[in-house]
Amino acid sequence: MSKTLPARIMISKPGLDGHDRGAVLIVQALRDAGFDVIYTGLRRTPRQIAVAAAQEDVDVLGASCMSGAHIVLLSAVVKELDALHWRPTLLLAGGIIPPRDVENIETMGYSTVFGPGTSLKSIAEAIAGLVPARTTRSATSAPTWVQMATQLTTLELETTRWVEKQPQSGKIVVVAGQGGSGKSTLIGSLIKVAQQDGLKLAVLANDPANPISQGSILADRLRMPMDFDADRVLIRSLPVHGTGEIVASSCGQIATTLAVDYDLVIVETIGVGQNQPVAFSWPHITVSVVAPGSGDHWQLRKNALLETCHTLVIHKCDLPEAQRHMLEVQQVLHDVRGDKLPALFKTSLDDGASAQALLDHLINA
Amino acid sequence: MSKPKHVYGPQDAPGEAAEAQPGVYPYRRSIHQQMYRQKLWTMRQYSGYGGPQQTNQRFKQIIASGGTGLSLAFDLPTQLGLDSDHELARGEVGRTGVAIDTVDDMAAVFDGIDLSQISTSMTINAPAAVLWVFYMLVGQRHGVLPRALRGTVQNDILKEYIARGAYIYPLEPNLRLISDLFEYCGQYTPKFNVISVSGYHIREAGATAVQELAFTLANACVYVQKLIDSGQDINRVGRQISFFFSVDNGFLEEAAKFRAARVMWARIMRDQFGADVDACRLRFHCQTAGSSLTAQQPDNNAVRVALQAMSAVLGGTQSLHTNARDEALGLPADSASQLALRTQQIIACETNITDYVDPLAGSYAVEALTQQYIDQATDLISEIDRQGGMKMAVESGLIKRWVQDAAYQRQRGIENGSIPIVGVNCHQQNEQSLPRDVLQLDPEVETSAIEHVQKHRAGRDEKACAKSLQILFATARCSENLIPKIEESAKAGATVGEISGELQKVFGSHQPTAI
Repeated sequence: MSKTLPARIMISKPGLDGHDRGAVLIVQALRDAGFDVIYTGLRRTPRQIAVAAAQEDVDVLGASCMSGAHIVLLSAVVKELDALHWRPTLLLAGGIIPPRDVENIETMGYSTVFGPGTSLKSIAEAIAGLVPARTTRSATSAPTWVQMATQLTTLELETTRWVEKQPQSGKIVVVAGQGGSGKSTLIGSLIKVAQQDGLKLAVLANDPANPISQGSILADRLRMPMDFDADRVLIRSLPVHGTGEIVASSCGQIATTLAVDYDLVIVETIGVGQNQPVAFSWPHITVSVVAPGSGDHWQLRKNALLETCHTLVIHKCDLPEAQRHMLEVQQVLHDVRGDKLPALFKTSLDDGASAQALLDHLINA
Repeated sequence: MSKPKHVYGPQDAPGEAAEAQPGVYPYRRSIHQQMYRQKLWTMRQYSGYGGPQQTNQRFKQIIASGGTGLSLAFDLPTQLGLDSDHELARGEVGRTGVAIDTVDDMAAVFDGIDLSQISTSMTINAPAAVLWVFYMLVGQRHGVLPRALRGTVQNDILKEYIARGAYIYPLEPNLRLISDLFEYCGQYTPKFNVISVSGYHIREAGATAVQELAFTLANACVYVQKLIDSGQDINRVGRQISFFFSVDNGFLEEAAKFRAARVMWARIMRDQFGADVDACRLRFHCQTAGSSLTAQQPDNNAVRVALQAMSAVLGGTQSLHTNARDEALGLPADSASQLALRTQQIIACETNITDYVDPLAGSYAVEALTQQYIDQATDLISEIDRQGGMKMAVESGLIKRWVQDAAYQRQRGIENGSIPIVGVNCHQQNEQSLPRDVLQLDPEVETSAIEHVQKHRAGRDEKACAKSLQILFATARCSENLIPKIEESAKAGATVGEISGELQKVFGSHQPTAI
C-alpha cells in the first residue's frame, strides 16, 4: 500500500549573498500551498546544497541568487549534483537574473527561471503543475548514501502498520524534549564528535506539518552542521503528516532501515507532546533533553518522560540559571524515580567533551 | 499604522507640535534652524563595482555630474572578510561593489580625488575597522591629515544579523571592534561618523515603517550603551553616530516617520543617556526604497524615485541616494544612474522646496502621523524590552521573524490586490521581455583581482607581515584596542582576508538561528 505525500522542496541560497527576503517568502508561501519545504539558510556552497538536497531526496530544488554571481553558482550546483549522480525531479532558479542569462541557465538544467516581479502564487502553481506529489527517484550509479536516501523515500510513501525486523547493527536513539531545549544543537554536537570517532551516524528529524495546509517547514536541518562527510553522516527530515500509529511505524521503518548501515540513528521527535513517553514498538533508547527555562518545578513534574527515559541530558549548562535548574531536575527525578535513576549527562553548547561522553554512553548502552 | 481618518483637524495634532521650532530640541521640525536655505543635503549616490579602477572612473563621473558625496559599495567577499582569491569568492568578485583586498586597491579607488574636499560613506560592517584603516592610510598617502577626513563607516552589525546577512563574528566581539574603532576615531578622525545605524535594510527585508523606526533606535541604544560602558563620552557618541533610513512610497507617512525619529532619538539620548541637547540631533542619510521598484514597466520607477526623494527632503534628510529606474533588473546602466542624480538636482534647483524649513509642519494630518509613529514605535521598543532586550531579541532570531512575518503579510496584500502597485496588480500591460541595457560585468575582473592579490602577497616582506598578524592575534585575545594593530598589519601589507581571518581565529563565527 502506498500513500500520497506533498512534494518536498528545498529552497537554497548559494554563494555569499545575505538577502533572503525573497527566499523566505517563497518558503512560507510553499508551506501554505501545502508543500513540505526545507530552507538551507544563507551562504551555502554548491556542494553543501547538493548534499543536502540528495540526502533529503527532494522533488524540487530551487536556488535563489541576488548578487549577480548566478551563472557561476547555478552551474556549480548542477556540477555538484552530477558528481552525486542524483538530480531532483525539478530544478528551479530565481533572483535578480537579467533576461539575457535565462537561456544559459535553462541549458544548465533549470526548468524555470523566476526573475524579479514573479508572484508567489505563480511559483506555487508552477510547481504544483509539474510535481504534484512526492515521488521516488532512482540513483543506481550514485554513492551508497545517495541510494539509501532514495530508498528512504520509498519507505516514506509506504503505509505500514508494523515495523519489519531488520538485521540491525546500529543503535536507535530517540531524542525528546520541549521546543527550545536545544535538541537540534545537541544533535549537531554529536554529529561533530561522531565524525571524529569515525562513526557512521544518521539523524531523522521529525517536524510537524501545518494541520490546515498540510504543508510544513522542516527547520531542524538548519540548526545542524552543514560541513560534514556525507559518506558518514546522513541527515534526513521527516514531516509528520497525520498522527499515531502510522506515523510511529513509518518513522520506525525508516530508522530501523538506517540502523542496518549506520552505527547510530538519532530520531529527533517533534516539538509537540514531547513530554509524553514515546510509544514506539521498535527497539530504541529514549533520551530526554531538558534545559534551563523549560519550566519550573511543577512543569518538570508534568514531564512524564522523566519517569521513563533511559538517559537524561541537562542541556545548556553554560547558562547562568543552570545550577538552580539542575537541582530542581534532580529533586523531581528523586521524587518520581526513587533510586532507579536514568543515566544523567550535563552538556552545554560548544562543549565537545560533554558531547563526547554522551556519545560514548549511547554507543555502549 | 491605523487607517487614515476622513478628515484631520486641530484636535489631531498634539499640543507640542504647535510649539516646535526648527533646530530646537527635540528637533521635531529639523536639526538645524536654516536647513536647506543654508546648506543642501549631500547628494550621495551609492556606487562601486568591478575593480578599483572602474569604481574610480564611476566616482569621477559622479563628481563631474554634480554629486556632492561619495558612497562606496563593496563586493560580498570584501564585506565578509574574504580575499578575491578565496574559494568562496568564486563568481562574486566585483559584483555587488568593488573588490578591495589591499591598501593599494583602496588607493586606486580614490586616485585623483581630493579626500579633504569630499566626504565618503562606506557600506562596510563586520570588517569596518579594516576598511576604515585602509581609507585613513590612503588619506596619508594623499597628504590629508586624518582630522580633515570626513565620512561614515556603516559599522552596524545588528542589522546584518536581522536583515542583510553580511556578518562574520558573533555579536559581543563585533561590539568590541565597534567600540575600539569609536575610541580611536574620536582621537584621529573626529569628523567621521563611526556608526550609521541602518533601518534601510530592515525595511527592505520587509519590515513596516514602525518596525523600521523601533528596531533602528533599539539597535542604536545597544551601541550607545556599549560605548558608555567602555568609557566613551556620551556627547561625542551623539556627534559621531548617524542614521540611515529607507524612504518608501507613503508620501506623507515617510516624511512624518523622519520627524518622529528625530523626536524619539532626542528624548532617548537626553532622558536615557543624559546627553546635552546639542548631541541629541538625529542626522540621517536616506535611500529611496529598492524594494518598491518593479520589474514590470520599469520606467515607472523613475516617478516613484522622484516622489520618494521629495518625501525625504520634506522630512529633512541630511544626505540622499536616489535609486536608478532599472535596479529591479540588475546593476544600473550609466544613463539610469545619471537620471537618478538629476532627479535630486531638479528637486534642489527647480522646486523651491529648499526655501522652506519643514514646510509640512502644522499640517493636521502630518502632525497626527508623526505622533502615531512616535507612539507606536515607542510601544514596540517597550515590547522588545519586555522580551529581554534588543540584543537577546536579535540573537534569538525574534526580530528577524517579526520582519519576515511583515514581509509575508505585505506580499500577500500585493498578490490579493489589497495593496495596489501600478503595473503589477493594476494598470498592467502586456510587455515584451525587454532587452534592457543593464550593466554587465567583465569576467576579467575576477581573474585580474586574483592575480593582483597573489602578486601583492608575493611582493611584500612576508616575515614582517606575519609578525604583525601574530601581534594582532595576541591583541585580540586581550582587551587592548585593536585598531593600532590592524593599522600595523595593513601597513605591513596584510590583506582584508588575512586581517579578518586572524580576528576570526579568536572571535569565532556568528551562528544564525533557524527561521
